[in-house]
Amino acid sequence: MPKDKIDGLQLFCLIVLFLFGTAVFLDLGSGARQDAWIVTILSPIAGLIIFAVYYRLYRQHPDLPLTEYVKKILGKYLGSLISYMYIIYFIYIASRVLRDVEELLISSPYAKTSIITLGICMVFALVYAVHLGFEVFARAGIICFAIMTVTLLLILIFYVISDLIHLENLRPVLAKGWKPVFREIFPVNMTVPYGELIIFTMILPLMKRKTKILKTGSMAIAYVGIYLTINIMLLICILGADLLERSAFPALAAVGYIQIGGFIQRLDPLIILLIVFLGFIKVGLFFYCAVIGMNNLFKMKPNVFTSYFMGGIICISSIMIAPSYQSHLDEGLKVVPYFLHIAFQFAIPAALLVLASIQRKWKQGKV
Amino acid sequence: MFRKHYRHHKKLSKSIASNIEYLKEQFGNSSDLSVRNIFLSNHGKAAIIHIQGIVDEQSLHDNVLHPILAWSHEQKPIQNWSREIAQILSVSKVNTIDEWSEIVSGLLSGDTVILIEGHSEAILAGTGKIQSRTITEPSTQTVVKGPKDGFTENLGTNISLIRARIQNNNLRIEQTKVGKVTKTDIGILYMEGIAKEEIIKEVKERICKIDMDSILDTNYVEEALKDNRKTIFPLFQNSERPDVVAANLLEGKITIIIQGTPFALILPAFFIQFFQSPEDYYANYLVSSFLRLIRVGSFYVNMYASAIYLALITHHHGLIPTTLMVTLMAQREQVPFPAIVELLVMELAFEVLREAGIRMPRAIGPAVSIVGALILGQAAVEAGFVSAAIVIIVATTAISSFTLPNPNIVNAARGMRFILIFAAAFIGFYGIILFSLCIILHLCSLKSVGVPYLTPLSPVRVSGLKDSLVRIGTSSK
Repeated sequence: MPKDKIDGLQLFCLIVLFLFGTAVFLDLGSGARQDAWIVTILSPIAGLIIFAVYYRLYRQHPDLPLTEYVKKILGKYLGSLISYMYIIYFIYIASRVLRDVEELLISSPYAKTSIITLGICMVFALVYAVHLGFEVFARAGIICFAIMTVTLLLILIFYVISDLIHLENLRPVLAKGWKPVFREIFPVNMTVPYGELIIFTMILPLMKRKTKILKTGSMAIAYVGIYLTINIMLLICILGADLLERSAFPALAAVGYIQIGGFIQRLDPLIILLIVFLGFIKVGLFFYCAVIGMNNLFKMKPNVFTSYFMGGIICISSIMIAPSYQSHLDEGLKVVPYFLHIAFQFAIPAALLVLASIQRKWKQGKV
Repeated sequence: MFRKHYRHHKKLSKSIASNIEYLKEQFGNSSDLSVRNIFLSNHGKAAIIHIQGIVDEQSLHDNVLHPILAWSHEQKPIQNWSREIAQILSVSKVNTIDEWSEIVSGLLSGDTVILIEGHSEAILAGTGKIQSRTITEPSTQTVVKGPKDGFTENLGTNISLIRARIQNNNLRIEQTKVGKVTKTDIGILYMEGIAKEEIIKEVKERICKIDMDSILDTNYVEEALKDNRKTIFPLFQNSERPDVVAANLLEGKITIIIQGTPFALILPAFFIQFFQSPEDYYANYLVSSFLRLIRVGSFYVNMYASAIYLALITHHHGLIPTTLMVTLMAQREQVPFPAIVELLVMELAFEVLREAGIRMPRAIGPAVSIVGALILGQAAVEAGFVSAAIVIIVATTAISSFTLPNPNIVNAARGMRFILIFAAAFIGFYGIILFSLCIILHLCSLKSVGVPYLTPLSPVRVSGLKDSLVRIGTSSK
């Protein structure tokens, strides 16, 4: 394995940035209307369970990424097939996230720019990041985390100062009972963002040995859960449930209301900053995992070709996966969670864990 | 045949005449090689050889010539001239040597060579004194309050200035010669027990590997020591202030001092260090924290101001408050060029002015400032070639670059600024942010002698953060 070494703080920052990813901008759980915050406060619990499964898998093969230990558990041929599918899955999710970022940018500040230009620029930066290696990426994560925290705090302060928060928008609580809430949690809010933690099965082998991964990961998930809850509560308070459900990017809409002293207004650059930073980290992580997986699967040394190749695919498929933003969203809400996420995030890892445990028991019994 | 024979062996012969001939031949009859023949009692012969200009004439006369002459007249049987003469010289460094290469290098560093008839060895007396200027106030990194002495071009003087500040036997100084032609003296200084062993070892190894003809300034060594050559950011700190060097040594850094330049090289260097002025530690910590934040702020203004202006004016009109937009557009109405051309021309004009300001003779300074300020600034705006806003932006950029104590980091910001301008012109804030991400990644990938460049920010070192962007006062225990 590469000798990159990631410490606990870097892992924490990466998980937080990764989970924030596009979640901060999208209308998480808006189907539950004013109860969306209950969705965001409950789904981290599911996230913790999922992460625990991935952690158990990692403990069984602490030196190997997912795409490698699949082969150990399922044998060479079936394992290679599954790991190849995972690589495709990572590329696909990377293009989905990239498409989200592109659509966000197109929606307001870059209405006249072609969507592929935005994608190409991002991919060039990403290829540079992948070229520098994961340790550098993790270190940059800390800086991005600091910048993100400051920006989010600033926006929060501006919301409060410009007197946008109407707490009455949160009522009535659970008007339609628990059903819509659970329908939101499973599968959509469980899979995005928490189920996407599957990529950390590729990254955990790069950790320093003595790091308390489970503790760090749980803290990060809890942190994200709390922040996303605050975020969605703010959005409900500012926009109201109706507007929240209707608008494609509620964060952008909410920031538009900020007006302080007639001078601090139009804070879109802050939002662009967040979009690009978070999108960059998220796409970057998927990208990086796809590259590691590819290099391992085809037994290649880290090379520039793979990353350029992969970057090109991500860039092009980000545009090809959907003809319009609406169909992109529909796929994301109705197709992908059921057909892809449940299989790749829950079914396969759980099956692997069970199989690996049985294999181990069997081996122990034999000895 | 004869010459070949000598070169092959490289040892002295017993004949004084052939030795002198060999030396003269080695120096190509250089006019500053001075040879003085002396007759000793009992038909003994000796020669005193030195190179004019690099020896201390006073010391040569009082401590070498005078004792030998006074003593040569004493009539007494001498068994071993060489040992006797070595005894009577009143200089602190005396060596007896029979290798030509060492004699030549001794002569070149200012030693006086004494050859004696019938002896195949020479006496080297340390009389070297290299001319140097007196200790003056440093011209860079000036402070209002604090020590006023600066390094000179002389290695010995510089080491003495540091020794005077750190009177501790754990201060280690290791001297070597580097440069195949110049044979420049290089001193490696560190505090035993504070500096990390592996870094010291690494630095020594890299210095040993230096394969250059000449070392005339710290930058020659810098280039050889760099981990990552493809970077615009300074990976080592330069200082001509002994107090800065002393403070860094006490923090566990290693300092390299080079004969012939008043700048010492401090390594490893961290990004954050380039915003720290020595004065930060001589003033109240609240004040110095504020000033440090101002410096960090001006660094970013210097890098980003023009790019952000360009992004706003070309891509994001909607983000400018309406009243400001009206003012800006009114100014730009009569300007015939696109904003990027206007900005680049003004930026380049300022770079030219700045370069001219450094190179021109002092006497014509006022003329250049008049031309620069009046013609480029006022007249260009009045003629409608550039908008006033651009002049303000470029001026702000320029002024903010002067707040930083280290010129190397300013140069890095200058380079980044131009790329950011292009990124902004191409795709606005998106370009600026993406390129900034690349800069962050690049900075994270840099290492200075194996230590990550962004320490203590990333990887985080809590103890280091107390003296990073702000300085938290130290309480006396």
